[in-house]
Amino acid sequence: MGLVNIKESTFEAHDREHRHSFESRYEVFIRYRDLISGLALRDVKMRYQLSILGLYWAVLNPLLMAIIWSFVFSTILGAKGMEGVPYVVFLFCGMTFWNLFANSLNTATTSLTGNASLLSKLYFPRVILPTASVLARVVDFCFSMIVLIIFMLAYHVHPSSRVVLIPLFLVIELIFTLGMAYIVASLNVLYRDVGQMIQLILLLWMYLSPVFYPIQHIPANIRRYFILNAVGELVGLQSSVILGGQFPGWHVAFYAAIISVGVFTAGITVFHRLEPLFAEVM
Amino acid sequence: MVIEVSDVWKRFRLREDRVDGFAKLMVRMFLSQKRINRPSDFWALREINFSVPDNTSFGIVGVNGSGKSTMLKLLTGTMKPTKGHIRVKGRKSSLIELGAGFHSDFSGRDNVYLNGLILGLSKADIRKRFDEIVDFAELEEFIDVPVKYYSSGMQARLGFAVATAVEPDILIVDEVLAVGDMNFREKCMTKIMQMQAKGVSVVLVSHGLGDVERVCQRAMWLDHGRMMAYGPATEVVSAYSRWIQ
Repeated sequence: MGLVNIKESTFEAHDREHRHSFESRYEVFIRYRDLISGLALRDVKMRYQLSILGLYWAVLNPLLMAIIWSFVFSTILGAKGMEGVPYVVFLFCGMTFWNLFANSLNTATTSLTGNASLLSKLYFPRVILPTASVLARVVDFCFSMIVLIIFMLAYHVHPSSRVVLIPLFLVIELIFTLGMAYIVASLNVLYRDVGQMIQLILLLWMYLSPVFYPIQHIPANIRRYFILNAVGELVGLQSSVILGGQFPGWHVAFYAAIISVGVFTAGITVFHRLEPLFAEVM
Repeated sequence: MVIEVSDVWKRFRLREDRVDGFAKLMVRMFLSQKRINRPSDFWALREINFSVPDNTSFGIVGVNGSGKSTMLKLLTGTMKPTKGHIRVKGRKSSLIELGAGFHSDFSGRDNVYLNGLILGLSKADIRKRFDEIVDFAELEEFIDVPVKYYSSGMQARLGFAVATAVEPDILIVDEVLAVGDMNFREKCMTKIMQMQAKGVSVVLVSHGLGDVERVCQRAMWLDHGRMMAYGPATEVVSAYSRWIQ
C-alpha cells in the first residue's frame, strides 16, 4: 500500500531528526518570530490590499451568513439562541469564534502546496508556513470582533464579568487550531484531496458545535460527548462570557485545554514525520 | 571542515504507486496486498564522500542529470539524504534560484524583507543592510514598484543582493550566473571573490568550467550520481573536459 511505502523510505533519513532534542522543535517559533509575523503580514496584505473586496472575507461574509441563517433558523424554524440575546447577535458571535478556527484550517491546508517553488529551493523550518497562515486569520478575527461589538452596542447586549477570560480561551483555541493546521497542511502535500475533504469536515463539524444553538440546548444524555469537541466547547465558552450567558463551567475549559495541547503535540509530530517528503513530492 | 559529506546516498522513489486520490487509496487498501506497481527506485546519488576545509571553495561539475542539483539541495537542507551523513558548519545562503521566494505582487522593498527573513536574517539586520542591498542591485528608483514589473535581470540582481547580504559562512551557487548580462556576471563574480577573501566558502555548480577553476580550489565530477573524480579543481576540470570531448 502506498502509505506504508512512504513511511519506510523516510525512516533512515529521518533518524537523526528524531533524536533532535524536544526543545528545538519549539525553539523555532521564537527564533523565526520575525519570519512568522512577516509571512502572516504578507498574507493579510495580499487579502486586503490586492483585492477589491478585501474586507469582504473578514466582515461581510460572516455578516451575510449570520443574517440569512438567523432568518432561516430563528424566523422560520423558530430556533432559540441564548436567553435575552437576539438570535442574530448570538449567531454572529458564535461564527466569529468558529471562523477563526475554520478559516485558519482552510488557508493552512494550502500553505505548503501553494509555496511549492519556495520549499524546493530554500531551507527554512517548514512549520513556519502553516503557523503564519493561522496567525494571519487572527487579523480577520479582529475585524469580525469589531463588528460583533457594534452589534452588541446596537442591541444592548452586555458581557458577563468573566469576559476577561477571552484572551485565555483564544490562546487555547489557537493552540488547537495550530495542531490541526499542521496535520492538514502536511497531509495535503501528499494527498491533494485533503483540501476538499476538510471543507466537508468543517461544515459537519460546525453543525456539531454550539454555533447555531447554545450548549445548554443539547439534550443532557448526549451532552457529555460534546466535551470531546474542544473547539466547539471553546466557541460555547467564548459566546457565553461575551454575551453574558450561563457559564458552562471550569471543567469544560480544562478539558478543552488538555485536548488542545494534545492535538498540538500530535500535529507537530505528524508534521515533522512528513516534512522530509515535502521537497521530493512537490 | 565547513562541510563534511560521508557516504551519502539519495534515492528517489519514482512513485508509480503514489496514491493520488482518496478513491485510489481505498481501492489500493482492499485490492493490493502485494503491490501492483513496484516503486522503481532511482538512485540520484551513490556513495558520495567529500569534505570542504575552512576557507576553501568547492566546485561540482557534470552533465545534466548527473546529480549536481540534488547534491546542492542536500547541502541546503531542502532534502534529506536516504543514507549517510552531511555536516555543514555555519550559516549558509543559497543562490539556487535567484529570487526564489519573491512574490510578484509585492514591491521590491517588501520582498527584500521577506526574502531576508527566509534566509535567516532578523528584521533589524535587514534594516541595517537595506541600503547596501538596493545599492548593489541598482534598483533605487524601482524599489517600491511591484516585482512583477521588474525585468528578469532586475529580479536576479535583487535576489543576488539579498542572498549575499546574509553574510553567510557558506555560499551555495547553482548556475545562477548564467542569467543576466556580462556586467552583472562580472559584478557577481567580484562579489563572490570578495566574500571568499573574507573567509566564506563557496560551493559552485557550473557548466562554465572557467568559473569553477577561477573560484574553487577543489572540485568533484559527478556522472549518473557517482563520483568520477575528486581533487584539485584544475585536475578535475581537465579530466572532465577531456571526457566530454
